[in-house]
Amino acid sequence: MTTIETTKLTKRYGEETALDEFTLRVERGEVFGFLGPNGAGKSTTIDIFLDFIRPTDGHAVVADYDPQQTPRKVRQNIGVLPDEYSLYDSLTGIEHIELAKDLHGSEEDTDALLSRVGLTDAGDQAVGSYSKGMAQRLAFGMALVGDPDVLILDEPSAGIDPNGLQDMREMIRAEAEAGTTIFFSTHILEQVEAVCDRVAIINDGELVAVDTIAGLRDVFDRQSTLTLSIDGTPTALELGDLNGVSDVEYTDGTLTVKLRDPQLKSTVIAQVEASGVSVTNIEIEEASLADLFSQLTTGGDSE
Amino acid sequence: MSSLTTIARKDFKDSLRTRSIWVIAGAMTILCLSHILAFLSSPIADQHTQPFILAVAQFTLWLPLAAIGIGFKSIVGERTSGSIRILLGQPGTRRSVVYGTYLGRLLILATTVLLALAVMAVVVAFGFGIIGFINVLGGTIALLLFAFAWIGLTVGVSSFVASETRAIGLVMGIYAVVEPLWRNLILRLFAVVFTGTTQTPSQATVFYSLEEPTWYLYVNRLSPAEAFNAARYYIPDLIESIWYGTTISGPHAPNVFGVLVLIGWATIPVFLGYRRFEGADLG
Repeated sequence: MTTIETTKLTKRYGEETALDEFTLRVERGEVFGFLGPNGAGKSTTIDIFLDFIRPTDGHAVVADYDPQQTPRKVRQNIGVLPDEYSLYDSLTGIEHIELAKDLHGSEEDTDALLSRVGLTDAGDQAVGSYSKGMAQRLAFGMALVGDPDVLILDEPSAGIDPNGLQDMREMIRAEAEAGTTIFFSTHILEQVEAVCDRVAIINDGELVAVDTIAGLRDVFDRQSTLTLSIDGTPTALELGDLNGVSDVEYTDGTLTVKLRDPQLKSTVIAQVEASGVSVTNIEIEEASLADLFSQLTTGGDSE
Repeated sequence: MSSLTTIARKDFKDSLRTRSIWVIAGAMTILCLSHILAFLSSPIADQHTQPFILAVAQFTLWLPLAAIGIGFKSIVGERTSGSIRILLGQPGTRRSVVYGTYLGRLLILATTVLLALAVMAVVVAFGFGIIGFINVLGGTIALLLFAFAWIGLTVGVSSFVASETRAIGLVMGIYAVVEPLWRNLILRLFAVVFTGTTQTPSQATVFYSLEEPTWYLYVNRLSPAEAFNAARYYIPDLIESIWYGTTISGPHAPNVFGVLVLIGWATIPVFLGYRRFEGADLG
């Protein structure tokens, strides 16, 4: 069962494309990590799910409803911990939970909700006196009101300390165990590694990859790049036909071969030499998921 | 409870605890009071036969500024602070956010205005020795209509724009046009359109005479301040005429028009603001 679905979702601001024909499916009960550098389009996607912004093209379905057509139905079925939010400083924790309960038409026990997010003792304090971590717990508690089918968490770790982070992770895990679909965005790889069943990587408004963490590792961790300096121009070289070679490029005395299968290195070198050119230098670079991701998040400056 | 009333209640409660709103309310009370005290100490104080209406009139200048202070951040402030992301992450609609907040701010402004008016009423009752039930009733209704007009305009502007600077700029611009610039600039421009000259009738005869040209009776009341100035005499008059079967001293049609203008200011800008807000990207 699909619980979140986007079809060619596109958002343009004038000339700028924030999201480009973005298509994604998230199954019911999954803990789905939405990974990408800042400005990649994560918040744009989530803002469309919540109908904070409207897509230029394409559409989304979240918890059985189109957020642009029936935003209220979507909001009734989901819980949201948004990005860059603020709470009402003069209202207490209890009043915030009650606001969410009233809007949901829910009769849940406020104290029980507060204790689930570890705010039992702070419920009657005005939120203005809360730390960032406490505010984040309260916002998470508001998201839990109405027993949502889907929890959408936009950068849930932003601005909280390591302890708070650990608590947040445990709260997310508890909800996942209860069967809630969790869709959470982050720009930090370690966070999705710790909790996610599947991960989508987004960059520049486009989907880069969707897989399990293990699957992504299989793809990216085995990717290596062979750079050969050669004398002469390779002709009649059919490296691309080799199973396990993903890309071949030749420029000006340098042959770059990308390999999915690292075992192929010697085969490639042998074939190059067999074609009549001599190899003067060999460089091997092994890629990993972490490398790929740090490349994305720093714009490739990491090397 | 519907999401609209839930949001109204949240907004009212939040505003009640916001210090700046009480500072604004206090300033409005003191400024209005200072005028009425000045009247009281003048040698012709005992010539005022309707001192409560005089007290109500003191709000003409200050109430709009209080409404602007209380309301200009109401919607745009939720956008810029990000609290709207929490609010709209919950079941509810943009409509309930705009109209709920409007209702909340309207109740807060009404509360502060009624408190200020109660203080004024005490001063009037003791200072002038007369107060008059019908004047209290009619004057209060007129004042509340004036308050609704300004909070409607302000919340409407706050829903319309995307930054607090633009909200305050736009609403103060409108204030300038319909209050300080109205009589000496805007009305004269209307006069040119209707009469070909920049001459407008003097203010003193606005309420009790039918001598003003028809265009003036209506156009002048487009300003909420002028509509209110007429209504604070007209509404008590109307109540009195119904109560005692007396004849009313002013004309009905332009005054009913003036009351409708106040209702229009209270409702149309907030509707336009909502329409704009409904279509906006809140990212």
